[in-house]
Amino acid sequence: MASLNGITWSGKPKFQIRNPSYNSTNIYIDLAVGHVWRIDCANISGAIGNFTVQNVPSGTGIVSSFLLGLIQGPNPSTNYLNWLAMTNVKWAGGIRGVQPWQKHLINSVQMDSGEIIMYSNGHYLAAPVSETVGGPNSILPIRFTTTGTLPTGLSLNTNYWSYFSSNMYFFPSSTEVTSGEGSGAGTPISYTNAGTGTHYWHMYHHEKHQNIQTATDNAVDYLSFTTWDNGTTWYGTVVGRDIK
Amino acid sequence: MADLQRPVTINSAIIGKKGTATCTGTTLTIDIISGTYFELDLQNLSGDISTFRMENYSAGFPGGQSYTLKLIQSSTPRQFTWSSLIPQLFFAGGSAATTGPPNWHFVHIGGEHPYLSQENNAVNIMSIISPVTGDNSLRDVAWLVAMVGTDFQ
Repeated sequence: MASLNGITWSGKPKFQIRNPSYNSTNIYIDLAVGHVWRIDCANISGAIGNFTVQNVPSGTGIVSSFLLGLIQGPNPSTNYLNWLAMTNVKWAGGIRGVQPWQKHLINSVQMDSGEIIMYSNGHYLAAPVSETVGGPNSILPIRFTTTGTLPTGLSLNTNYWSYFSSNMYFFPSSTEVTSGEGSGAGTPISYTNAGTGTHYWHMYHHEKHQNIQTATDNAVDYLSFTTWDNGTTWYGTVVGRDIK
Repeated sequence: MADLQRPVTINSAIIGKKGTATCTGTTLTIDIISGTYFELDLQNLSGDISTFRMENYSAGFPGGQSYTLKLIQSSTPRQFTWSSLIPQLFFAGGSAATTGPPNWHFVHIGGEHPYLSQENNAVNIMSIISPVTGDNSLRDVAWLVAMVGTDFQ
């Protein structure tokens, strides 16, 4: 194997596109023969829950990567790659169109009818975002950070939802909100104090919890996978969805 | 350094090298000729990152090069102080590079400063692309920073 300690590509690198092998439970990527892979999901059957990468280069201090193109099939709800089951692949937080790392200032925490209401100008929580996995009407969770102490009733590293909001404020809920009333309407948090310091909220969601693939037949999505530990864990990122 | 001027077909994995990187105090340091991937546990920091050192800068420094940083959040969450952070380059031997213009700076997608996930041990991956340099005179001064992803799970 060639080892180039620094390289300039004045010419154009080309990659042969390989087709992974698969069966009803596994998809196999063999890095000995390819860097760019593509699979037509029209040919798979059922939910493939194992992601096996073969011949991963091994050694100290190396990082390996490959690309995987996915062409959606006609039955995406029954024949698909089940990323939730593939525990060797880690996905970034956040959702398309929302920058998860972007923290949003909470201008003030107040009491409304005994419950916590948070004012955050121009936040995104007014419109529920639906997801395929996890409930058709569920709203994405958020988390809080602070430079001081969060209001009593709120904790760090804990998911919350918004059960009622405008574009200026929202009421946090300790349970997922799946409907406008009844058991899925959320659980308000009683107001005790506003905490100390400056508080922020940010989206908390993971790519694999929603459809990574575009659900339209023949839609093309490309994913990138990188390992920093010789193949034990793969970090997956979406290069592009619904490329056309 | 190899310069491949004709098309090259690659039929197997592309492997990158992890470079040397450290973080102490409020300083993050990478050795830019030791690799293009850098893995750092922010646990060793005593505060937010206010100094970004890139060492072993040389006249042969290639422009438009991509670096990838894998940052593991510490139990006390740390961030980059992007609003005041500037790239600081140093020659081999430790002397500060003075060939660059005084207005080196980091730029971000949409002008939004990337924000690291605050959870302890959260994995954040970030990409940095250096300015294009030709004959070691700077044609551009902006280091492009893009968050690949935060809080991988």
